[in-house]
Amino acid sequence: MNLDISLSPEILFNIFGIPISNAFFWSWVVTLFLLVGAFLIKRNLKMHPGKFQNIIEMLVGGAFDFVESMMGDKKRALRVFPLVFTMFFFIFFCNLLTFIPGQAAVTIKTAGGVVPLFRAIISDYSIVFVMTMVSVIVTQIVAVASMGPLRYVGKFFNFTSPLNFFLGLMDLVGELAKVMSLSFRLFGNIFAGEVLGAVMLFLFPFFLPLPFALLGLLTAVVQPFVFSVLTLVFISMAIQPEEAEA
Amino acid sequence: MGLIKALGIDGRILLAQLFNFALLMLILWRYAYKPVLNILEERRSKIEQGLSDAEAAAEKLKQAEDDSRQVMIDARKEAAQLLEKAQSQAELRQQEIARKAQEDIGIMMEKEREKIKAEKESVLAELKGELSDLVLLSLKRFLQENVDDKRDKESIDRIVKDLI
Amino acid sequence: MDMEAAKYIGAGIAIGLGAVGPALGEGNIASRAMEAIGRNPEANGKIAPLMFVAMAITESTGIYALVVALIILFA
Repeated sequence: MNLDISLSPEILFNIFGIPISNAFFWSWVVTLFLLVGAFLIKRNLKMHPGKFQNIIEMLVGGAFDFVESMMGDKKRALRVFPLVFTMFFFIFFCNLLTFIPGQAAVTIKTAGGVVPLFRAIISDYSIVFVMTMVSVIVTQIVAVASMGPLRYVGKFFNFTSPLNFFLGLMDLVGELAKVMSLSFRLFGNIFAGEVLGAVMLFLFPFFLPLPFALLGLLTAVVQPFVFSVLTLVFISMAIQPEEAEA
Repeated sequence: MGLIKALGIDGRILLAQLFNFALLMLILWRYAYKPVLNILEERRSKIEQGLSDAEAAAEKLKQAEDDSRQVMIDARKEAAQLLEKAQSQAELRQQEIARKAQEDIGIMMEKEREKIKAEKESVLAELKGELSDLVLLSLKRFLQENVDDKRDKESIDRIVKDLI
Repeated sequence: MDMEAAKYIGAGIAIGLGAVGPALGEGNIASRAMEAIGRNPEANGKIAPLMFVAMAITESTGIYALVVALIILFA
């Protein structure tokens, strides 16, 4: 058994010339699962909730209350909530998928050689990058909408003094660095967790990976939370630009 | 740019992921969050409604209690009034009856008295007549007998005894 | 020393040193947050999310180090 760590997801097969990676494939599986779940929830929603509905209500209601407390306004919260909560929920489920026992051992033979069938979806940078871009672009759109295009541009190109000009440029760099830090935080954590688990499994397959799996479980919950809360914070800061920067 | 390649980033994949995520977000919003939030809101408003209803009911109950108490007080007062009236009426009636009875008694007594008086008079008249006869008779007898002192006395006694 | 070995060493140093700052910062944040919660347990719900966000932001430099390490390794 050898330890091979690949930064990119492995290609499973091609459809119309588009390489479908294992992470991409499983992200579609998770999406389908969530969609079916959503339809089921919609159909079975009752005024007098059962156990399952209670959990769903607690989750959604609690998350909404949290978003509302961060945004400080119910209407704004309603606009942001679907984006933020979908991010959280999707990443969370993607992370949970890696805790299916035995999945790391399943491999599949493809044109490019033998590759593992499963991969932690979030350890594929492209999906993280897409979500980060959505988050950052939404933030910029909100900033433009709340400040007006002139003030928005003026924030980055300020010619009143050399210092202000420099600070404006730093702001611009900061916005770009936001993309980096936001995406690599999530990707790095999950990827590192995967690598750590693989290394531990490689070193000694019994008991040794267990504490790291527990640590990974914590990461699987905290990282989606951090990702979505940071998005929320960015958006709420874009609405109130006079408040402190991160 | 080696890093981008190493990360396995492909523009088409990115587009597909974006589509994927957008679809997921829309469907989840439409079919999961919205109904759940709606039902939460509905339940909250229902509970609020229930609470306010309960408050109103309590208020109404209190009102009704007050009303009933008021009615009771009124009824009691009325009853007391009625009773008093009846009492006073009864008293009046009693007095009247008593007065009437007294009157009747007075009339009767008067009548009786008159009757007695008439009887007395008639008896007296009769008695007078008889007495005069008796006196006449006794006088006659007295004058007929010889009279001495002793006899006189005796005869007087006798006469008187007879008379009486 | 060939190029490959230098790359590995460089990546190791980059992420190793880059992890020091965030580690200290996050430890500091966690300890302060615990202190705050200990002083005022009712504020737990408000402090915990803020703590996570602050930690995430502190982590940024570590993330940058990770990116640099990845660039050194793979690019």
